[in-house]
Amino acid sequence: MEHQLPLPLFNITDDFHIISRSMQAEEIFPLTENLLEIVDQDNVDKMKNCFITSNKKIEFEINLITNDSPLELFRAFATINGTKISCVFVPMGDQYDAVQKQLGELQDRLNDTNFELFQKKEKYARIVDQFNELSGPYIQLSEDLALLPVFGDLTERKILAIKDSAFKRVYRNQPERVLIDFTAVGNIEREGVRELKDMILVMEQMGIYVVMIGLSPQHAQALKPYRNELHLDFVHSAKVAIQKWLIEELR
Amino acid sequence: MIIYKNEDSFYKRVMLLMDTTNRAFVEALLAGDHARSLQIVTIRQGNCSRFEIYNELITPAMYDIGVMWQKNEITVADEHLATAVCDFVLTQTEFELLQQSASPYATPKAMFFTVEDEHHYLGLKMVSILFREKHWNVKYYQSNLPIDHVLKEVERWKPNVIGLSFSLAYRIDELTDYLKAFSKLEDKPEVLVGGRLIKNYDFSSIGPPQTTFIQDLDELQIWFNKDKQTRRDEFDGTSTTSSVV
Ligand code: B12
Repeated sequence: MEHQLPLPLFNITDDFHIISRSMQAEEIFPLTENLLEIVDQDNVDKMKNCFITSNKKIEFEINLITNDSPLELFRAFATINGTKISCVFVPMGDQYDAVQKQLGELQDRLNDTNFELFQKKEKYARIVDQFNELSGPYIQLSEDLALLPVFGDLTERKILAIKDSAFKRVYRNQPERVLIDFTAVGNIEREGVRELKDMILVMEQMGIYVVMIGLSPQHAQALKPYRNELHLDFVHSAKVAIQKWLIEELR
Repeated sequence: MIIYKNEDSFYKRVMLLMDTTNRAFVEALLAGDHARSLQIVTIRQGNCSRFEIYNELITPAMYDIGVMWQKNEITVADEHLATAVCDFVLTQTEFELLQQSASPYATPKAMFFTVEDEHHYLGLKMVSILFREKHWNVKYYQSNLPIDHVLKEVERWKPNVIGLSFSLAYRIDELTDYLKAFSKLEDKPEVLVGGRLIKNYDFSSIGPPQTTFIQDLDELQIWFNKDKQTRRDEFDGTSTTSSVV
């Protein structure tokens, strides 16, 4: 399974010993035995503290040592199952660079024009939206198959942000199927679901099959009111979905 | 931190008030609230110096934000927002000084920048403003200045002081390169190096003679006092430090 994921994934023990890693993980990080060895010194305590929890799923940002860089920021998504832990790292680097550049430009202007620029606050709000957008990256797996993993809590604002870029990409690439992956979704807000439903409806109108994967029972419950309205396929795991469509397509 | 020996209710109230204000400032930074952040600073300015605002309000606030990230309470996106607001507030505290800014030839001159690829500049910005407050002729280049560029500018402008800052542990090698290059300069400017790491490591081995490593603003104040004394002595034509003015 871990060899098919388009993201770096580690399976570790509760003392961070690495049991297995995905191909991406092999490519991006030094081949250490312990996961803490690729964590920046100033971040080791954070890493350890994040796992002192009774939650089954955790999400946090962490600076890691990669083959290319002595320090790079990642967003980590971990699933804890007793002493077995799976941890996926999504690189944040370039994404923040863009924002940093934007903020830099804004700051220059702020500093030039002084007080009158209070109104620029709205601009910052828009930048927050950008970060929301990054919580639902659109990944084209093949010509006909796209993956839209959603990270974190499902809020109206997040879906609004994700939707925009997802529609543009879907429109340009015209995949046959979009897999919306809920594995890393935490809480669901009612407004979030409504927005999600609208997003799915639009995709269906564009002639795309939408497949929901990785739904927990709570997620399924939250989506129930819209089940009839939408013509969704449900598949339990990303593995099955990817095998079913991607592997078959490649044959 | 201020510790009051006499813990009567008045002091407790004062401490509480200070506490909430610091916390309120952190919250305002994280909320991206320029107006409120500036308001807190303006109120404090009523009875605090610039030095105190930087040392007791703004620096601790940014360190707190670092701790909140460590506790997974905020993200780097929040840090970016707080940084932008903090930068804005700092600029406001500099505003009146800029209006009385000196001619490009006035002395003493000081120039400030962070080493290449180092974008942590808030501390450096505070320091550059404090130099301006003390009537130095200041060039503040903010961040990420390549070494060749620095050397050219130093040779042209001939600053008395070069101030640089770094926060990323893995940039220590680059820092050493800068310091080596400065030690070869003819004019021998005084070099000040600051940043969060100075506290944690012993840098004495990498600094050439005219380099001073400065942990925090209190140490900078000590340096200012010494420097003032030296300049007065030079002015008086003596080389001892015994003259009292
Ligand atoms: C805010 C912040 C940012 C802001 C930058 C703000 C800015 N423009 O300055 C942003 C979000 C952009 C950022 C980015 C990054 N950051 Co950052 N950041 C911080 C944070 C939370 C606070 C820094 C700060 O503003 N401090 C307040 C200032 C006033 O304090 P100061 O710098 O120490 O300065 C005082 C004194 O040192 C002294 N001083 C400083 N300079 C000078 C110079 C002279 C001449 C003198 C006399 C005195 C002096 O006076 C100052 C006034 O009191 C720290 C956490 C921490 N504990 O420091 C992390 C931290 C420094 N960042 C870190 C990292 C990893 C990064 C990134 C690589 C990844 C990321 N998180 O996105 C990028 C790197 C970008 C780059 N290439 O430089 C790490 C560094 C780890 C390490 N191993 O070195 C830290 C420690 C956080 C962490 N625990 O992981 N960061």
